[in-house]
Amino acid sequence: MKARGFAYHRPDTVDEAVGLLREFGDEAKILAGGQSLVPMLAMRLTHFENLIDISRIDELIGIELRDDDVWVGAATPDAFVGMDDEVAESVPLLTLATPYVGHFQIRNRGTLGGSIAHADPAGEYPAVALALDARMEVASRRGSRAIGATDFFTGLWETSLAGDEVLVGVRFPVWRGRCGFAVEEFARRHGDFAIAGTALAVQLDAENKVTRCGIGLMGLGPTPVRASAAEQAVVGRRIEELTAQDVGGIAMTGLDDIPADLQGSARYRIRVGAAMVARAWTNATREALDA
Amino acid sequence: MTVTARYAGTRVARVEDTRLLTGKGTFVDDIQRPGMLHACFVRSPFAHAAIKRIDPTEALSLPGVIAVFTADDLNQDVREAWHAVTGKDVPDTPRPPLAEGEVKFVGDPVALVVAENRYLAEDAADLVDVEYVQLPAVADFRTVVGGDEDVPVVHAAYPDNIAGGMAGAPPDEELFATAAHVVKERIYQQMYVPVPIETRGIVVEWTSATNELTIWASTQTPHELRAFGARLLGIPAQGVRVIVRDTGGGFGQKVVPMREDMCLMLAARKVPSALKWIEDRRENLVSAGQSRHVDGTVRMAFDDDGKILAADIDFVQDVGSYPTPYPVLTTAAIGMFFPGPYRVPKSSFSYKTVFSNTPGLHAYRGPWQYETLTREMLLDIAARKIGMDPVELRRINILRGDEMPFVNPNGMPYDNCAPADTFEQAVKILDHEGFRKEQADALAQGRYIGLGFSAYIEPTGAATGHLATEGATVRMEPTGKINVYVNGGSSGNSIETTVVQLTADALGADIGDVSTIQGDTAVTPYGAGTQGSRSAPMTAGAVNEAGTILRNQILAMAAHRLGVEQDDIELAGSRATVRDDPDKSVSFAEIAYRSYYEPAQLGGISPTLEATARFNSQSMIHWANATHACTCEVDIETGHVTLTRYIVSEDVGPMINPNVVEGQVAGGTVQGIGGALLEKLAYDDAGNPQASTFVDYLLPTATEVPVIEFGHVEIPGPGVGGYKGAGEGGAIGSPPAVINAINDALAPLGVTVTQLPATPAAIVELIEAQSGKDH
Amino acid sequence: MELNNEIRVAVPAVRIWEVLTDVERVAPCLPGATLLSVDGDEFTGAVKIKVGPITVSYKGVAAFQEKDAVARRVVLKAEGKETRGSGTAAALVTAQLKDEGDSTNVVITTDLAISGKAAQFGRGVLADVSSTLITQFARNLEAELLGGSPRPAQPATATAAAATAPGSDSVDLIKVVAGPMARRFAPFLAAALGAGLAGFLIGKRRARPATTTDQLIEAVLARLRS
Repeated sequence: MKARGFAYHRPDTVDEAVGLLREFGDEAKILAGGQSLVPMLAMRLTHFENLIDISRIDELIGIELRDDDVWVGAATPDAFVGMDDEVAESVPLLTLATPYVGHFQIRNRGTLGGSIAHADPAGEYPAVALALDARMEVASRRGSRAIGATDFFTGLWETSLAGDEVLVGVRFPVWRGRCGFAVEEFARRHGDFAIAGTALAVQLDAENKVTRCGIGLMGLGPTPVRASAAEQAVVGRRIEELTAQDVGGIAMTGLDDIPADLQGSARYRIRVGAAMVARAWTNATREALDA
Repeated sequence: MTVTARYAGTRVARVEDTRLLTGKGTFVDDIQRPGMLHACFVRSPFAHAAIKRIDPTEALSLPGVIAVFTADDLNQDVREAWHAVTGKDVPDTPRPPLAEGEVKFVGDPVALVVAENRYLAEDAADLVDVEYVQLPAVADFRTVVGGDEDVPVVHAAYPDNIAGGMAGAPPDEELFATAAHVVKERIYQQMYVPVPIETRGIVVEWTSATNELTIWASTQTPHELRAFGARLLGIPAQGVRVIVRDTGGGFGQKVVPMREDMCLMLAARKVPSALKWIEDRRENLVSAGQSRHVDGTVRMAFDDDGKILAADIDFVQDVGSYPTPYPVLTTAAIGMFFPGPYRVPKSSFSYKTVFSNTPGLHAYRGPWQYETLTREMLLDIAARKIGMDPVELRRINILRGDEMPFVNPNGMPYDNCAPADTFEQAVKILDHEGFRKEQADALAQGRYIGLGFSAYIEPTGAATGHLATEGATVRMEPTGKINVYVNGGSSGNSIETTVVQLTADALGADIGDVSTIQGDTAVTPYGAGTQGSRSAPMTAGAVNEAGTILRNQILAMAAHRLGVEQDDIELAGSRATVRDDPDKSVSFAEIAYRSYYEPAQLGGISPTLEATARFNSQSMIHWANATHACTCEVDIETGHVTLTRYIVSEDVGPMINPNVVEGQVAGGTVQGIGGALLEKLAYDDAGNPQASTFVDYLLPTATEVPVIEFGHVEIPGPGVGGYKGAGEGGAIGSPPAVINAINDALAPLGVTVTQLPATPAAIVELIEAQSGKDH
Repeated sequence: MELNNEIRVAVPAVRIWEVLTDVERVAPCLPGATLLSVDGDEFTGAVKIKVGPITVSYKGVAAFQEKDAVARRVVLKAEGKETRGSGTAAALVTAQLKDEGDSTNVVITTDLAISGKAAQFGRGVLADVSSTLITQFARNLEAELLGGSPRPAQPATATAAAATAPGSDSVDLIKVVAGPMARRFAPFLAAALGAGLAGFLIGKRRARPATTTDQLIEAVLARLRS
């Protein structure tokens, strides 16, 4: 498992990085933590003549509150995200999701931006981004723009990033009020890819009616998926009227192209997915009730 | 007796650990030779295809690429290719070094690329242009036996794809027809593999000036590799030297040299310098081999009281395309050991071994363990059918110590063991009755927890052919320090530590003064290596033989020097001391100095402070046995199984080092847990391997396995010190303990797992199917 | 593995037939494909498949095995080898046209056999890669037939759902959720099912075993109701 030879570039700024991207086009790939890319290179499943290492660009590493969002620099290691107090306070879904991301060794090198740009359908951070309607900040020589999560994940390992664009940061909206958050994931072993899982956020009003709900699903499609049916079903209802089992079941409707592979059939994934959403609903609503 | 056993039986820290844990081990990939070149194999992408043409032109045009060898270049140089374990007269299945005319599994080596470094070699391998014509493949060995005319043929010489088979006396069908209780199950065990942490590898260096071949290898059997290499190339064995320092796990995958090793040895004389091949993990999972893939039907008949009347096993084993020598040999053991450690009056077996277009069968730690898997699963199923607790059913059938020697219905002479003792110890450690209460409470809360037992008996240290003897050289150096030389094969099983303990005891030396040298064929006596759980009993025997001679030499010199009789002397702590007059003593260092530098003062005693001897084991088999007990909880929504407790109660005789025994048992147990729940070398219908990386081939990790609790029973075996083999047992007893725990947990739902592995998805499917029936 | 795609285009079958049997118009529809040479019904080409960071390039030959103008059926056999590496891909693509007057239903069935690294992973990647390829081919073909630019590769929007006349399928799916659940959640389910439906009709692919999404939904909901 030795990769083919390539040219290695380490720009110091985002501007340099996007310049290199434009120069090399298809022949270049952004490298951050390398936890997804490097194995593919080593197994020769892919090859790029140029790797552009952005892992040390200062402007891409950081976590800070910006208006009502928590901004996470794209090259911020997962481990930092998981340990950060601001994140734990303002975007608890990220804190809850991080321990599921591989193993701690992977989290020390893997980055939040890398995970989102790689867009694995079983990824934890993409599901959180989707559940919270995060915005992906993107830069190229042509300028900057922000892409909403619902428009970002377009297919298996495909995003709406153009070939000359690099993800520079992600803004996660902060939910305030009576909120509850939960991440439930089922995998074969600790640290494995999710077979089915969810990142769930719920907000209640004073009468225990659901005012907001975001449910991101992992492992149940070629991309992370919003369980929109379940979200729409619960909003406006009092949580005493809803059972976790119902919410789990509805969350599994409207899903298309559920994976079927060595780990299980689509039917199995639906069963597990429903159970994960049910458990997450129970935990999140309990937290919201106490808030 | 002038020697006290001071180290044997104690938890001495391993001598291997310091270098291994600080990254200073010397594995094959650490070997660097001047001008060394690197090898990479071009491998077949098809499970079965004809090779039309191999064009290396583009590959050879890359700078730094030295050669591309094909079957035409290498295969004809083979002089002899038989292995000692089968002998030269037993007809063998095909095993060409490189694929000849046809490829027979995905990963089949087709060409050998040699380049200045591995990166270049892989670049070149991608450019070797091979034209194939794809042929239909046998991806699933279960399609072979069943009479379908359209099954493709793997080897032309075996048109029915049957490699071999055997049957004992036929089953007593009348008994099965009339017995009070009869159970029958079809049980399938998946293909899974040892996955040693160090993949296969070899460095070969031919010195043409002296016609000598030096081999550094990752192997369990350095001397046999040397002998095989010499025969392969038709050169005198004196001209071949194998050097093994550290091997990172073997488990049977590294017992005999494989086709890639053959290719490297054949290429050695055709390249200008040393040549290294290190397999990567994908290659290891795709092409190193396969094991444990068996499908069969088992039956047991019981009387009214639950006593076993008869047992029958009828099965088919997958041997892949290029099995390592004589697969029929260990497969026969499945039938022979099926009665297990129980009082079984009648037992019958019949089996076939069949080819498929998958990698060849190789040995894997307790290769016959399908007999324990099926028997123990069947006993639990029988217990539930009869209405007895599985513990009770075993209790009334398991053999007691006072029944030894006991000849099982297939002629296996059990002795020096008491399976009932290990069984009862396991039951006690578990608190079986307490668990049943806990289980009932859990069920009332809608939780499913279960308990599984498994008992087995295994042959260790079998004295057949070249496995029956073991040599040792023990030498006191001029400084008084001791070196012990044994053949080696240390691959994580601590045989450096145990031989040092045994030698220190044999001579009365302080353990800090004893070192071992193993694995270098130029320096160590011949030995069959580490396999078949033989190292403990055989090394103990060899050290005893050589150690006794050297001890007598030391005593003679000491007696003369101290002016007493030999019987008056005690050897301990690297000193010879007069028992009744402790002030009168002389150190080993002083004895050695005189012998080497002042021999005139020895008073006529021979200045020989070394001894070489061979131990010839008179014990056909050392019987070890154990009972495994496992508790689990099954999450019926996801099918996930959590193991909550795991107990191994074993008898390997007195233990040279309890840490080593427990380590061996634990390692094997975890491999068995992997086989029960996680590991599967899966193939699709076209014969493509699906589990080619650790993303898909799932090994148990620390988070999947509970702390393993041990109980020891120490019934001496027939050999020196009473030591019995400890290497394989863990991997034998574990899969059924886990499966039985799952089946016990799910019994209220009417679910029985009979196909391994018991994955969450498979368990859910069974639960859904069963509840579908119930509605 | 077997992949199924279906497209319905508001173009008469005759015109579609012309395109389907014209190598130089069909070949560009395959994403990442380059036509290298044409020799009657046989042609050589190269295909670069890209899904996320993974790229595999094949070079090979394809030939029309069948061009049945009466039955409106085209069968294409393609075989390619990786340009770097030893993997291969072989596909037997059958396109069956169903004349519906001013529009045509094109059913594309692909029997795909892949060897090499791409085929050696259990984690369902290959199926997705292949299906993406064929789905994009179908969309490109559709665009080519309509004479416009290719549709973006995204799940269908509500507009698309409206444009494609909902068949009897939609009614069946609503019926599936009849019962106490439907009364509580009917409005929400209708929206969700609508979105699901559109995806269902535009680019449904089935990997073996052929269980449809609606059957799965039914099974899960049945379990919840019981």
